[in-house]
Amino acid sequence: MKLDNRYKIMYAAFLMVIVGYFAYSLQVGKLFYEFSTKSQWDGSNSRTSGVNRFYHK
Amino acid sequence: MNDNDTFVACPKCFSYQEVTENGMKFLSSFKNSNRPKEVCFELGQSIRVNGTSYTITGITQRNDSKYKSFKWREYNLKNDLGEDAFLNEYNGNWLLVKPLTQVYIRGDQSFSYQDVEFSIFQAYNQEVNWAVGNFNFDITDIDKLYSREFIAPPKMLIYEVQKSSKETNPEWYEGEYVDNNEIYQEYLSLGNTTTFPSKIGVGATEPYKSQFYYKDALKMSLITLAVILTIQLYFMATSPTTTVFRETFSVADLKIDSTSTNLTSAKPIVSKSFSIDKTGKIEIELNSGVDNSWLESNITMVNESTLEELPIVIGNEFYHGYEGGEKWTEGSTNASKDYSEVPAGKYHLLIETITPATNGGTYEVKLQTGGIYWINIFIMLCLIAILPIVKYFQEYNFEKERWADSDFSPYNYDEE
Repeated sequence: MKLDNRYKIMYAAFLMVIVGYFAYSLQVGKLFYEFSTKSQWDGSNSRTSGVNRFYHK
Repeated sequence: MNDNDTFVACPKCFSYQEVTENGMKFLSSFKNSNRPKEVCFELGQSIRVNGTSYTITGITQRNDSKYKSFKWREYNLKNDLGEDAFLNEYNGNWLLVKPLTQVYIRGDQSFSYQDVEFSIFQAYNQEVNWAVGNFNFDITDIDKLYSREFIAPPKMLIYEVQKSSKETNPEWYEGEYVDNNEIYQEYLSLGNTTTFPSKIGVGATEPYKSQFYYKDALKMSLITLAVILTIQLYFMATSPTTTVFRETFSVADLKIDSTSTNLTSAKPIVSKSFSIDKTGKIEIELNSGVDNSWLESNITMVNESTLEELPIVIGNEFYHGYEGGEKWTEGSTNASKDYSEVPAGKYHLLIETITPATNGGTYEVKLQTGGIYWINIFIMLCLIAILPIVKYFQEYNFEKERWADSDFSPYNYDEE
């Protein structure tokens, strides 16, 4: 099979991009669809029980 | 008119006559008003099909004697060498047909011819309902022609026999699909004023044309699948799950909240330090012995170098009972959460646990690094499967549409 037209080339490029991103996801331990992991650090998904946030600071 | 032509359908008076030794013998007539609107060429015009120039010597419209609404047009052609050919048009799909002289074919449903497998597409008796031009047989003899068509797109083999001969002396023809644009260019070059038939549906021998076929998409996706599996196996081998923190705490050690006599205080426990060697996912687990109760830990994972904090809320609640003659349970005594892309470094935990003061027992906090998200490979499998599936159904639907008018279709049309 040859990459003899632009549709095949585009599909090959798409496959290469997702394979690269897949390998990167495994390397850094992230979910494939989780493009940014910043939100888990800002506390927005935590502190739901009214605990004094500044107690230990 | 050729020497072999013994029947004439006059293009001016539309009478149909036989040429006999005693002159012309009137047989019947075709009405000009019955001229099919799909007839887009005129008798005597010269057209070029598949690289050969032909003169049109006859035009007929035929129909299946059983399904009379199935009508097609046939242009009788003759090239400069005097060789016969036929240009058939049905629903704007064109087929150039030539007689075969020597064919030895066995098989009513399918057979191999020149290493190509042909399958039966249609079997019918045909009638002529309109004609102009010269013919070498009586086209109005409805008992004359029984046809079977076998296809291997873009080719078709046509078996024709006189019914009265009981199939002992068949004639074979070979047809090949002609792109309707090629015929349309001929139509334009002749400047004909008649209507050019619009292409409808998929022709019986129309090849599926695409820049990108199903088999190409499948091959590329399978190669990618092999790469993905290799990558997955590599990371499974090099990212084992490691427990970097595990400690059990006693609920009895928690102080009673001064503002609420029912709950323990949220004062944090500072854990010992631990290291995460490699940036990656972590999983934190909370296990406790709660019984018809709950326990919640607010854990802050503190990076000792950058002082970045990862807040984690995790809880257990487990209830059970006996109601209406049946036992029931709800919740669990353990829970886990995972976090992505946690940087390597030295960390400690601040654990603030709240639970009803009446609870006793212990609770355990466990933190593991490494491991992989299996959902990633499932997403990848879905992504690489999309195009092959789309292309497969495109080609499947094309073939299904091709066979829609066939009595021998291998496809099921009941649901439509």
